[in-house]
Amino acid sequence: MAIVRILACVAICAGLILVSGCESVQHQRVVPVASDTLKPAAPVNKPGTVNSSSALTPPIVFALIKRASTAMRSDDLTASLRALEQALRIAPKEAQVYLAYGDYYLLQNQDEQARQMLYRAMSLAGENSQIGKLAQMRLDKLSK
Amino acid sequence: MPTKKQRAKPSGKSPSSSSTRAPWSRHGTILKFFVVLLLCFGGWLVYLDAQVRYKFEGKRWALPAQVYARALEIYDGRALNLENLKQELKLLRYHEVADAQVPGSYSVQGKRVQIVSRAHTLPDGRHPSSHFEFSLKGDVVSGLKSSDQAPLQLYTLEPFKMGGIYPGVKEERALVRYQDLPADLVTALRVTEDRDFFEHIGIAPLSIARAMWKNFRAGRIVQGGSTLTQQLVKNFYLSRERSLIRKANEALMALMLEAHYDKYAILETYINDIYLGQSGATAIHGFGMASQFYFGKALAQCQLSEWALLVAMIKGPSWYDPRRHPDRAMARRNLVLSQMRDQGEISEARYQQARARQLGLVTRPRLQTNRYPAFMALVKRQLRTDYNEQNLRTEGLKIYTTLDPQIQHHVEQSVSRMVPDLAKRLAEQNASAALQAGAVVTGVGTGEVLALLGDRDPQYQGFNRALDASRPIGSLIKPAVYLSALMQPDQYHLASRLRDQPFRIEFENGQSWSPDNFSNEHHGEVPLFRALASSYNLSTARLGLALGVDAVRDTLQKLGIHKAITPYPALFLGAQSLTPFEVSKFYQTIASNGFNMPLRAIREVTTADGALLSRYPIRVEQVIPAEAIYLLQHAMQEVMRSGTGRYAYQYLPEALNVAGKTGTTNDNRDSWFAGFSGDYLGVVWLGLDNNDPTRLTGSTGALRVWTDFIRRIPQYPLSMVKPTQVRYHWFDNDTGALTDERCRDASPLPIWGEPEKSTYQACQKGFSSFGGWLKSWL
Repeated sequence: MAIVRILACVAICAGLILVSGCESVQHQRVVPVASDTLKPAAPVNKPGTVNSSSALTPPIVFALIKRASTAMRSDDLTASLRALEQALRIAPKEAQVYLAYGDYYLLQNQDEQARQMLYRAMSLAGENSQIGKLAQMRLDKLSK
Repeated sequence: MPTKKQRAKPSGKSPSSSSTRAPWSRHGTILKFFVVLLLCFGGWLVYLDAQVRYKFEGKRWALPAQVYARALEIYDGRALNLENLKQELKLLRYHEVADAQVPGSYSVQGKRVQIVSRAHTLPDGRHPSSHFEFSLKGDVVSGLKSSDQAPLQLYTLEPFKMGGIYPGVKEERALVRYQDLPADLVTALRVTEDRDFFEHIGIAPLSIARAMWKNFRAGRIVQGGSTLTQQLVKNFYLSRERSLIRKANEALMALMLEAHYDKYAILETYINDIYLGQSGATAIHGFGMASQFYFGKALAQCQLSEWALLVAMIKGPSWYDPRRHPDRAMARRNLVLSQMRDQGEISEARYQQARARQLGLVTRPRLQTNRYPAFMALVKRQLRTDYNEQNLRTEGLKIYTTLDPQIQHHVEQSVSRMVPDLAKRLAEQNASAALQAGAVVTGVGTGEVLALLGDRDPQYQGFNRALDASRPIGSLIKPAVYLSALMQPDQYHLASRLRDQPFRIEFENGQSWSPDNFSNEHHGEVPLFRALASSYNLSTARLGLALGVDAVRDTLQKLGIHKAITPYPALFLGAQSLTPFEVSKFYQTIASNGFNMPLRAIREVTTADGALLSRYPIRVEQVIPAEAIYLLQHAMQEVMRSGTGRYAYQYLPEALNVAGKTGTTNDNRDSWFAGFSGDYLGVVWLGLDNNDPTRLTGSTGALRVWTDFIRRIPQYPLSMVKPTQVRYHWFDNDTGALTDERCRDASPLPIWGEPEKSTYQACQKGFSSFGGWLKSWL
């Protein structure tokens, strides 16, 4: 039965192509634009200038997170917070920055603010990502 | 000496005895007089000494708070275009040259930019002058490195000083420490004003005698004998009155000053106090401020000829004003230079080189004016919660704000360019009224206020519409209504059918409410996302009534509206009045994925010496589930792609995903738009102060201004992270029923949870492709 259907289909297809061209490429479809993990795109300000290559998070962001962590260890809280804020300004949607913020507030025993930062990290990274899981682990610890 | 006993003798004595004691008595009176005089003099000295020490050891000057815009951070991957960079460098008074070598200059060759920055201080410390370069390819910074080709991760330029918070006395002063004074300046000052400064004790009798002799011979005053210390005393403590008593006080206080303090402290105070010119009602005091006022750069960055000119002006800042009397100033400057050469302080070659230089003046800067008055008003309001007015005006605090001069520039330009055009429509109807504007731009991920405009004239210092014009927001409220629904995923999703038909509500007080669509057309049943995208009033009002006023009010409060909300059904269509700034708070929560993020205009406050006083760190609080916000943002993107905001894509690139909402109030009295990309949220209001109709809708007014500035700023598109509980399903465009992705006229919509499978319908209009049909058949 399936073989008959396939043959009929091929015949109809050939007929349609002959009569009206390839219908299947005429119809414009809407495709959802979404991703399970954040993929930074390129800045856009002119038609046709999309640099989709992308631009991962600028390396300086991770250097700043490291700097914040070092400052935190040496109890220089102002320097730590400054580095994190600078990282956030550069990459406001980088989940790792929020994860580091969470660590900062955990160290300060500001549990509620730490929790919120970790929620934000999860929302940006996606719950199933590595960062999302790290954030969840910290949240689990907090709720114990 | 008369004793107390002698003085206590009865007064009724014989003349003879009186005459025999007369000489003693006379001497006693004179003595008493001198004792009293001495005591008075001693008291006076004590008083003067207290004066000298009190003012010198206390706060010497009332220093206005200095307010700075955000510093431009340059790093690989930064979105930046050449036009905006040049605009910023112009603001910082950098000069474009062929080959940048000196601090404060830059060069552009193709896409390569070289900058030689000036040394500056930021809250994190001192940043030395640096020579670095980078490329601008596709509006992105790349290849950042120092001049010796070592890769650089980040360089922060000096922030633009956008204004100050000034005391009543109009003085501008930029303090300089003695150790930062250029040696040539000190030499020029010493040679010209007080050769023996480092030797004398505050006064120089020989100098006075020499000056008196010269003046006597000339028959007029040709030379002064005052030391620098005396000049400082005169300016710092005394009036300008010419009298012997004042002159005596000056000498005494000069001696006291020298007795208490070392030469360096005295010279430092002199250099920061000396009057060196006038800008309108504002006096220029000190070499630090004068170098910026006349040469547009820091004192340390000036050259010998410029230091000589500043010293030359001490004798008469008005008479030798280099802008008004350049020849006179040049002659006096050259005299200072020649004295330095004659004293052997500079070589003949340096003298000739400095003498050959032009005055090198910059255009007169406007002082004591705030470049961004509307933003400054916000800064002051936020500061007043932590600082008293007196401290802000006198302590020289440094306030580092979030203002982005590039974005502010574009907002100002767009309003100035577009509002007059839009006002022409109004002129036919109401010629006397001026269309007004208010705008706020914030960073989506940071909550930082990047630009703020309170009037169509950016320099207007009065009523600030961005902060204070509370107007009905019309359809800008609709996202809150739809969000209230989307937070109930078991009842509503983006494809839920809403009735867009007229209705009437009768209230107990006899009044009634019967809203209508803007177009007066009715659309039957429409999917929820379409009702929002096309801003249908009837379906929104019906949805609001089904949800209840309390639910929508609760959502508004979660989104950051803390003012009283009137609980009437008209709330669903935007009868609530808000300011553009309040709308920004509300939309900020939507743009930042349901995280409430208080808007901040200030990053840090430090003392004049750079010690940290306050930080204003970012705070976040999740108030709306990420799933509901994801759905709302999807619908708000549809507003821009196919709804009332679609005008924007006539100018924006397709790749720039944006979400937003238009708002119009009754009789077109207010035109609103709020929209965001991945980086920026902008809110624009247009209207009349007298609340008359404008003939503008949100789409034909505010949206156009928003589009005009947003398209000029390099930025990343809105990119949503899909929560795991959200999945895409396909719905029939006509019936809204769940259907197959292969169906023609079916569209995908994100759904939180699982949609009701019982509503599934097979393809009603055939398949979108032959392949689809084939698959279904197989």
